[in-house]
Amino acid sequence: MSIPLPVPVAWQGLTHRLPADWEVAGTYGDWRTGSLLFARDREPMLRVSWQRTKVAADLQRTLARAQRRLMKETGFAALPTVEAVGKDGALARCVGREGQEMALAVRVFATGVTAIWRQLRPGGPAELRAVAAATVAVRDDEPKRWAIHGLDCTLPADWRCEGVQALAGLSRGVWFHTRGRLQLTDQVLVLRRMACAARVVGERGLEAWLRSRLERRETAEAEPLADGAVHLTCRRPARNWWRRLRGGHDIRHLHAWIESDTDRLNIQEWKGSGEPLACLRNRAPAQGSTPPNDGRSSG
Amino acid sequence: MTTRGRGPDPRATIPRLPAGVECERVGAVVRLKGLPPRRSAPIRALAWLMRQPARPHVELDEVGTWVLERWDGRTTLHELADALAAHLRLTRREAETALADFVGMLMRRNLVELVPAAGTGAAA
Repeated sequence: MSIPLPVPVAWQGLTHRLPADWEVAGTYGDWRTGSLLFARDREPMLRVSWQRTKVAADLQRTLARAQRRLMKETGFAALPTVEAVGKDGALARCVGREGQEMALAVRVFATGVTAIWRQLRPGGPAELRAVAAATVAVRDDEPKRWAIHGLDCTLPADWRCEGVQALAGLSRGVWFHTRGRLQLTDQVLVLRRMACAARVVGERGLEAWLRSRLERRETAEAEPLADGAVHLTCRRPARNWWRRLRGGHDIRHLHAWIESDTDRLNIQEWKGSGEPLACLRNRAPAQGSTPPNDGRSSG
Repeated sequence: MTTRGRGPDPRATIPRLPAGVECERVGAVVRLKGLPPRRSAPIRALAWLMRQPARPHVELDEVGTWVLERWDGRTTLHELADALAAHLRLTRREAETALADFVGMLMRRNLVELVPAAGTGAAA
């Protein structure tokens, strides 16, 4: 029986699909190596770790090492059977003294990413197998989707997320664009997603609200976009005195739109050199983007 | 593998105003005035010098007032979080976090007490 996985979470080049009541409880690491913690009703369910290497990892050795680590941490004993997960992965299980099982899976993607999924509480392997099999990895030089805590955008290659913050009613992420061999940062993108958009904006309207948030001595030119979205090109004297002496300006681009179905205000702020990013409005729902209305009880 | 013991669920508690807390409605918002804090004489003198109010008071905004209006002595925090999520179109986790912050702020000012719901062992 297939397990429905309606919630997409895209992070650091890996796109996962989760069951409806799961959420991201923690993000660790960076593009090269890191992990995501998935939870359900405040209970940790699964951890997925990834590592990008130039040389593809050995699937069986990685699986065996991960299984030994699981045994050491839990005291469980390994089951001898290993199941395949897609064309590039394997799943192993461990069993405790009382018959409870914990599973882990490893996939070695062709893009050079090795990912390990590990259950954090005893249970059958079905959910882990489904989540692991549904994960997709992209190459370093491909555009990537970033979908987490309600933020959802697709960015070209060379953009890396430096951090994401999820507070009650506010999600915020920061991305840097790097170029050249030295990977110097030349562009910054900040995405914010706020709840209670109607209360935040009030009766002023989106453009007037954005203008009220401008910095001192900053002027803006507005460009209305489709579906009520707004684009402001903001200009102010350069912070650097040398550039200010030469008449330079700091320019940033603000895009803002309201999701009327979820009453969320999205603000996209871009700064840097080169061609500014277009509006990153994405229609597809991501994890955390829609409030659950099934009325289920978690107590 | 060891499992951590889980205490009583605080979401199963019922919030209510303690005895002596005054609740005053001013237009669309509510002002809560708590009991005078116990202070030693030197601290009372210092508070008087610093023009601190004799009783802690808080003016709730529209959302806080909405939450307070649902403290009917029967609604648990769990149910309040559900209602808040539906009212403001938040996710369940956001509603719980916001409600926890709100109730925690009031508890630090002794403006709310939590009582266990009937049939649970949750501590106040």
